[in-house]
Order: sequence, then structure tokens, then C-alpha cells
Amino acid sequence: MDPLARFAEALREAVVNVLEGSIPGFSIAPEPERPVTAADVEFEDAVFVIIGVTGDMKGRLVYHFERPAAAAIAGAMMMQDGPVAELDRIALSALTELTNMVTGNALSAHPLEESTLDISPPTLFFGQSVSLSSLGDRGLAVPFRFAQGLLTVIVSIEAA
Amino acid sequence: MSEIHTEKILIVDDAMFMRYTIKKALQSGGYSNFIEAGDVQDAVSLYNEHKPDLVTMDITMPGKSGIEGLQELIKIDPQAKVVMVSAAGQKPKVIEALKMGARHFVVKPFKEDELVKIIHSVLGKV
Repeated sequence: MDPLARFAEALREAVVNVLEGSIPGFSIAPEPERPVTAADVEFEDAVFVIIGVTGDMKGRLVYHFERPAAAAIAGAMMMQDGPVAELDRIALSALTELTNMVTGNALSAHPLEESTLDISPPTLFFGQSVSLSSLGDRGLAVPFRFAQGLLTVIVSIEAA
Repeated sequence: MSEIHTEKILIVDDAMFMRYTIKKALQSGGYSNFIEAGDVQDAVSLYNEHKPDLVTMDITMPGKSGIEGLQELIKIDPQAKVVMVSAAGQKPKVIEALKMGARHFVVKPFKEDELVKIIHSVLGKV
């Protein structure tokens, strides 16, 4: 299996593992959907987190949360009863931490665990009408559907 | 109800949410005396000022990493009790930190009682 497909598979398990581990009760289970080839896209009203990967593989992951999904996940991580009313600093911090944990968890999955890999601190941005370009890199979009909306992780990594 | 513990704990993490989560977990274990730093520079300065009994140190932070932070704290105080907080997949860094003098580590996401047990153990409460 090529590194990209292998990583996408590890990622699908990591999202569920981390949500189960960090959210007591885990009441907002995602349904993983089939990965598709990533393309240049435009988004309305969304939250993005970018994490770089270095070491035996290099590249980046872009986590794209539809805003209602972002509010629901942040609310669950902060143990609130329902979505956060506002994506304030602590809610956004919860989302970046989630991506940090998911990426680390995916990287540690067998057989990737024998690789020397590291991740950069996450960078978050959000807003209306955001255009995202793959800059020509080969990538996979790995979607997770929540009742409240979609989380898509765009994975662009390759052997260093 | 948890026993009350008076030790001073310095929480070092760039993520506000993780500082909140660690504090909340330790409060559930009876700790209430906290200082917080968002980066290594602040952590070193707060360590010198407050001489905390224990430090939790995130590994991945912008600027200086938690490994560099550990190195600086051990230089100031070779007996510093530092617990590393790592994401999964950072095994080599955790091993490096333990060799450098970190007392223990915890992998995110963690359960509240798991963190409390580690802190109790490093503070000699078990």
C-alpha cells in the first residue's frame, strides 16, 4: 500500500480513537466516508487547521471543519451539553489540540511507528469564502461525517 | 471527595485548551495551586520566581520545544520534577526526555485519573 493510502487508513482509526479517548460519553461518533483525490476547492464559513509532517515522510495535513461540526466537537471536548455558542479562543484551542492528537495517533499506528516522524505545532485559520489550493501536490481528502456536519482531512505526504 | 494537595504545579502548554484540561484533571485529584505558561521562556521565568513542586511540559510548542524547556529547567534545578505531555507518535522524543531527566510522561488524550496517578507518583504520594 502506498504511504498516502496507508496514512489515510491510520487517520480513519485515529479520529475515532482520539474522539473516544478525549470525549467522555463520545456521543458524536463520526462515520468515515471514502477518501477521494484532493483538488483545489472553495469553502464557505469553515475552520481550518494545518499541521506539517517531517522526518521519513514529509508533507502536511489540512483539517477542514464545517462550522457546525467544529462547534459540536469543541462543545463535546469541553464537556458542554451541546455545541459551543461561539468559537472563542478556548474552543479553537480545543480543535487545534484535537488535530494534534489525531495526527500523532495516526503517525504512531503500525506500520508507521517504525518511521522517524515529527509534527509541527498546528496553525489555525477560519473565515468565509476560503480558497484552498493543493499547489499541485498529490493528496487525499478523507471525510468524516458527523450529525452536525463534515470534517475533511486533506493529506498530502510522501516519502522524504 | 479527594484529599487536598498543596503542591504548586506549573503547567506549560501553548494550547489554552490543554492547560484548562490538565488543570481540571488535577483539580479532580485535589490539587489547586497552579501556575500556567504558554511557552518555554515564560516557563523558565515562572520556575525561577515560584519554584514549583512539579512541572507538566508539552513537547510540541512553537519557538522552543518542550525538550529544550526540560533542558533549561534541569540546568536551573537538577532536581526539577518534570512530567512530559506528548502526543502519540512522539516515542523517540519521550525517550530522549526521560534520558535527560524527565520523571514521567503522559500521552494525549489521557484520562483524568491517569494523569492524577502519574502526578501523585512523581510527588511521592503513592
